[in-house]
Amino acid sequence: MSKKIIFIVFLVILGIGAIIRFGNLDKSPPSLGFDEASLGYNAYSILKTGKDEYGNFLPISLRSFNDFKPALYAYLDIPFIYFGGLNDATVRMVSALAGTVSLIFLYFLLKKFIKNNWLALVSFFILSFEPWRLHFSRNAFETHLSMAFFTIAAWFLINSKKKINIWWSVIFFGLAAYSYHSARLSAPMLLLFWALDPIKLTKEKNVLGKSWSFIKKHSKRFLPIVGIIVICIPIFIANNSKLVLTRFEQENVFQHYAPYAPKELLNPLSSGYFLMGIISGHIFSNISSINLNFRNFSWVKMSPQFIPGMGMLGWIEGLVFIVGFLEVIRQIRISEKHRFLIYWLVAGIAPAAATWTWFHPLRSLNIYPALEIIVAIGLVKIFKLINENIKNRLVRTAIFTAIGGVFLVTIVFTINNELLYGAYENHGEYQPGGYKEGMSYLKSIQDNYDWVIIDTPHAQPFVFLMFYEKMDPTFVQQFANIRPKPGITGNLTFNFGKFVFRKFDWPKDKYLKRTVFWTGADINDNEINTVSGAKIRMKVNNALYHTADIITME
Amino acid sequence: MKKYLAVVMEMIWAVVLVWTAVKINFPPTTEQLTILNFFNLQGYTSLWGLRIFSLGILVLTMLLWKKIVERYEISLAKWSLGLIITTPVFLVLVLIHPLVSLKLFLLSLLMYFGTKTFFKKGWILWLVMVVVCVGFNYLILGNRPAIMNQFSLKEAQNEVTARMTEEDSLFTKITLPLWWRRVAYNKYYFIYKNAVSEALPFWDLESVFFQEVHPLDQKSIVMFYWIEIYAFILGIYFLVKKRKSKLNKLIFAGILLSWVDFVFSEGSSYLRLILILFPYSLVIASGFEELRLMSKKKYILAKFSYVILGVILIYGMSINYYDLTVRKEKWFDNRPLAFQFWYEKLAKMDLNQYEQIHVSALVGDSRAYCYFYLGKVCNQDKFIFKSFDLSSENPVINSVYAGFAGEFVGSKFKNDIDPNWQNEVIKRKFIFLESESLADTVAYKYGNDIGLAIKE
Repeated sequence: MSKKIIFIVFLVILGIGAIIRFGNLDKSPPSLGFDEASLGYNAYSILKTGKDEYGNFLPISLRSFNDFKPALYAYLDIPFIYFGGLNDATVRMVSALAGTVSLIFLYFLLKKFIKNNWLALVSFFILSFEPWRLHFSRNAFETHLSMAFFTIAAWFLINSKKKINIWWSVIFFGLAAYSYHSARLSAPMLLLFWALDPIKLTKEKNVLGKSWSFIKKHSKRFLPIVGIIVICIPIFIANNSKLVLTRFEQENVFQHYAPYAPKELLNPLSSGYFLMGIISGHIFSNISSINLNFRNFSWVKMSPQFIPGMGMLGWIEGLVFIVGFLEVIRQIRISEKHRFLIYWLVAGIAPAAATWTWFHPLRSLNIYPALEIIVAIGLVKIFKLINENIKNRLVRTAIFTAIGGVFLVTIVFTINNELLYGAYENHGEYQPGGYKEGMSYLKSIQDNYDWVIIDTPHAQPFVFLMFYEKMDPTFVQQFANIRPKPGITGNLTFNFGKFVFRKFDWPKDKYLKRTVFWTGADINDNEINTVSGAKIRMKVNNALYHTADIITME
Repeated sequence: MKKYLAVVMEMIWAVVLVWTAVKINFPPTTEQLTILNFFNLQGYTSLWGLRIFSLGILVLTMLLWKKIVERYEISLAKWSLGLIITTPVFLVLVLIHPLVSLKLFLLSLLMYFGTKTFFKKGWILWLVMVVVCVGFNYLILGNRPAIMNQFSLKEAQNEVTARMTEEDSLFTKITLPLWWRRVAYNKYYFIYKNAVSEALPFWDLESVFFQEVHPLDQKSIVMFYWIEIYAFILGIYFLVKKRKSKLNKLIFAGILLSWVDFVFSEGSSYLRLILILFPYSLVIASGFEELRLMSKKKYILAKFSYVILGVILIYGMSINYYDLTVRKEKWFDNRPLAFQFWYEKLAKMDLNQYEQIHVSALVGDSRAYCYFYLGKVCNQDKFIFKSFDLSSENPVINSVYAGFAGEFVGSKFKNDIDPNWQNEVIKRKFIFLESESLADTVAYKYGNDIGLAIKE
């Protein structure tokens, strides 16, 4: 009976989680970021032509903004676009689905660490509504898909007593690697740690000798590493491997901070000292409670990953994490699964540590389930401490009720924050509204004009044009050769067909004929209306304010 | 032999400390001036006297701390002591924070004698220490902690209203029932939220271990060197194995006390986190000590780690102490440097020949600094201690002006002052005497440059 009730409660939590993840994806976040639009348009392009926007046939990596995005997200998006059309909601469906599926495996993992079914369920309930888990499920991020696969793979690996599970884990690690760059390092690293179990070996006096004899004795345990490497080979062969590493070249820590030491202290030794300090800082920033609680660095604030006022975990969970972390460390000598959590953290953090950003959840999202499990371990530890040390039942009940109340209200706050306030805050440069509202009108009139001139402060505006106009991919593909070459990064805007992206210059532009302008510039309506043939056709509002005007010149 | 080696090392460290302190020779802070003026003392001799007093009470504090730790774990006492006195923040306490040093001394005194005499129960002593700590912050240091502002129901209600208005202003939005929103959008929950946001920054590894490479370029002092975080993690590992040891309780109580102190204090993060030096040093000490013991037992990995950590730590110490001497304005509060510049220049001038002497008070109590550098001459009416704006005021003929660039040429948004601002001053018939640039001044809108000029 109890098992049935637990299963029903689990389904209810999962159902609520799914509703919050799938509901109103077209309204909040209010509009797509350029990466989301690119994923969606490439999926659309592959659906229609079998090729991406550059004309590459069934690519493994999408060239997109010369950042060579892993293409798996786009492929998985194809069925949603096929049945639901190309729009904000269908682009985000893969992420919502990945978020929901990863919840199931989060619960399985929690059950592995928490013996008490009800405590596992309560932890699962709290963790299902963690800010970043919710936020990443409602935005199209390849890294979120990667995290979902990584979670499934980790679950199979932790249940590796059944030999076949190891190979299932390799397959899911492979899918994670095809979903986002960081898993290409994290996955083999975690498999290596799992095979070698280095923490266990540290108790040996001659650690090197023992490691070597362990490797010789258990060489089969290392086969999955070969498996994942073989699975990843096509990523590097299908494209020029140097281009696949473009993202690393753009983001690596070594280039960004060179020469590492302040100029007053600069010498080879100090450079090494400060570089090691920076890398160590990157590593430990991922378990620094304040970063998990609520600190948002500027590089996160200016991106679609930003959640106002909240970090990866909730405010209190970041503290509970410390309790859980202490408990995990206490257990690592005796418990393989607790050691596995540490390996998961280290492997997941490694790719993030090599990038220039100090703490960036996008880069280390694969560790997120491990962090959550540690939080759950902390919650259970706190529960036991209260239970053991407070003998008075009434006081104990009062404490649990108060803690439960705070968690419940915080969950409501987190949901409000994500669905409502987040939509208010996240409509800046990285969530450029207005395109969704205005592009369909632009499409309806543009055939009557020779030129469409678009003036916008947003990066990569062309992708929104392609996306919201559902532009014919064969038309876009014919311009592949005139687009900025691979290796060039930044704003990759290019003019194609009748579409020109440039600043709106009314004193000169007012003499143009048969032209449509899309401009975000401040314009004086009277000045436009007094010019013969000029007319303001539409005042475009984004989710919050007037953002652009559509002007025609006959 | 080992004993002599320890004495030699202590002597070497004392020399390093004194040499660095003399080399830095930082001008007095407001905290120090308040004490000096209270005793009617001026000049650098008095200042160094105060510093020797700070050093004295800090040495006593450390000896008491060593004795306290020895009651729990003898082997960790010297490690803990060594880790604290070699951190740059220890030197900074000696140089500029006599009152904070006094606070540490009082707490260590209370802890040392408290357990021996008055308080049999540890938690009562802990509560007394909390009261002393918070009371000292409020009454002596004059701290007005930000958390006290978070308990206003009216402010919280305004925040709730503003948030709901902002959400309702969206053209396209998800509609959630009002009762649902009210569950979390109410003044009581917002007070909780805001109070929590004041308390949580205590758990900030970056401020404690990574000040050398801080991602936000936060103005603070190195508390622990980054390499020590590895010993810290190892220390946690070794300590949690001894589940219910008295040492763990001491560390736990120390961390809790530090948290309370953090919440009920204000200022730079190193001052708010100062008490954490003690419990964390024990954790790091535990890491080092266990590594040392394992090295002795011929654990290769432990030996290797011990040597690597030790070498990097020694390098970290040397480079950070050197850094304090070459980048004073980065590490220290640079307001005293501005006053030092102005008043040391004025001290070399014959001030009798000028009508008025204007010295900026934009970043502190200019009159107090005047007494320190120039003595009773500052009582003359010709001294005017306030900010000036020569872009809009008429300067007094035959007068000296000492201030920030923005006070000479007008304040600019985002400190956007013309780098050749001195020429503009000269064009207005000033004799420009000297200028200097200070990195990251707190004189927002007034630039990083300071200068001295005479109106002809």
